[in-house]
Amino acid sequence: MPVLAGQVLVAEERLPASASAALAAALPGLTGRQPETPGPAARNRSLIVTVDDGLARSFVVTPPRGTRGLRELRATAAARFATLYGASAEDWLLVGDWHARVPFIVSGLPRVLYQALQQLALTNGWRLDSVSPAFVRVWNGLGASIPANGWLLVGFGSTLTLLATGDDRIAGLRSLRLPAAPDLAALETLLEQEILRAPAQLERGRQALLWAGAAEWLPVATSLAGMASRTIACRALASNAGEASTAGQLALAGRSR
Amino acid sequence: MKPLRIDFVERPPWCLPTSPRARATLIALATVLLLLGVALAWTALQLGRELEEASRAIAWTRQELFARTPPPPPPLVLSERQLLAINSAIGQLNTPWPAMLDGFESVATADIALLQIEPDNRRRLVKGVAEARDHQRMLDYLAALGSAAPFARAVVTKQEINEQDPNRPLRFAFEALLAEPAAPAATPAVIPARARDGQ
Repeated sequence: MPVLAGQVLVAEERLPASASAALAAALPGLTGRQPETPGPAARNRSLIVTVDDGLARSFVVTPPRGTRGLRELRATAAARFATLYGASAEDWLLVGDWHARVPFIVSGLPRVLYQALQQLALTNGWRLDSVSPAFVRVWNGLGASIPANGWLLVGFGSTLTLLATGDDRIAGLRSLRLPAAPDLAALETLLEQEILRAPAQLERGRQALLWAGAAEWLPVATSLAGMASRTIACRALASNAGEASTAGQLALAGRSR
Repeated sequence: MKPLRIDFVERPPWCLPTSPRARATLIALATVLLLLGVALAWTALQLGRELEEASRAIAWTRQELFARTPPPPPPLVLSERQLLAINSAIGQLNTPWPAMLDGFESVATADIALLQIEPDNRRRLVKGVAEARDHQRMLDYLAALGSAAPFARAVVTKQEINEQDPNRPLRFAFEALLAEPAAPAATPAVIPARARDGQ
């Protein structure tokens, strides 16, 4: 659905806190702009939505020892959300890569935004197939390329998500909204700051960096902040949403199957 | 690194992404189960059919057997006359001939001519006709006969002088009661009563 681009830019210009609400309000407007004539082919469409990491709130949860059941994990995640953001998780849809023993990632999406997406799919007769944050799509697309010890840095639009890994597990996650397209030096500074915040057990010497995403400012360097670095541009994600620049802001991708 | 399973769309369990190997295993398992189910159903059908056939054969055989079996004979109902006849026949057959004849033999003398004996089983006695030279000898004979082994008593029922015979013997008919075989002492009163009935 290349149609979505214009609306996305409008949402992104607002403040981050109200961005999701504004986007949710703008989504129904997309319906009227659907250029295709509805037919049997349009009925079978599934809508796959990739949400900007700035719109979702993602964090790492370490499960308490002796956790039993998904209910306890959900409660833990909600408590962690409240601690991190100082607000109740009631208005947020929390979904995690649940695990009872090792730290796992939990992502929250405003319920308003999710309901707007559902409504969008409903009014157009599409099946809402998947809604995931951008870093999840990048992570799942890269697979074995992600360094087992090091950093995966996902850049989309003006959001940089830094995922720290150690011993094949997720160690830390942080999404940063950048005021402008950063240069190499700014990125290095950001990374250095983030490394300082990271848990001490991560050994810097054996770590590697992997830059991925669809942002234009992703660095092309073999070494950064004393670590081996490489870059994989995820054009596949961007191409589905039309122009790469707009897709970088927020990829709302829909494709027919 | 393992893929992250983070998706805000909650899918039903059967739509969850599975690894191709797990999916293949599931499909194979499902296929095997399906085949097994079909085989089981087929076997059940076959068994049911066989059962039906067997029960039909059993029913047919039962009918055939019933048709071939002759009807049961009607229960034997005998009239009173038949019963009496049978009982008398049995009684005649049970007549203790050897003992009776021994008894007559033991009291036989030259003065008495025994002409006829006839057992009467119903009354358990023997009727006889004999000729004696005179009245005293007749009484002696009857007394001797009455005390002989199988007999309990002997009484005269009729007497006359045979005029046709030049010797004019005394012809007399008598009844010799047979002694009770089981308990002759226990029922002594029956014998005279029976003897009286017989006269």
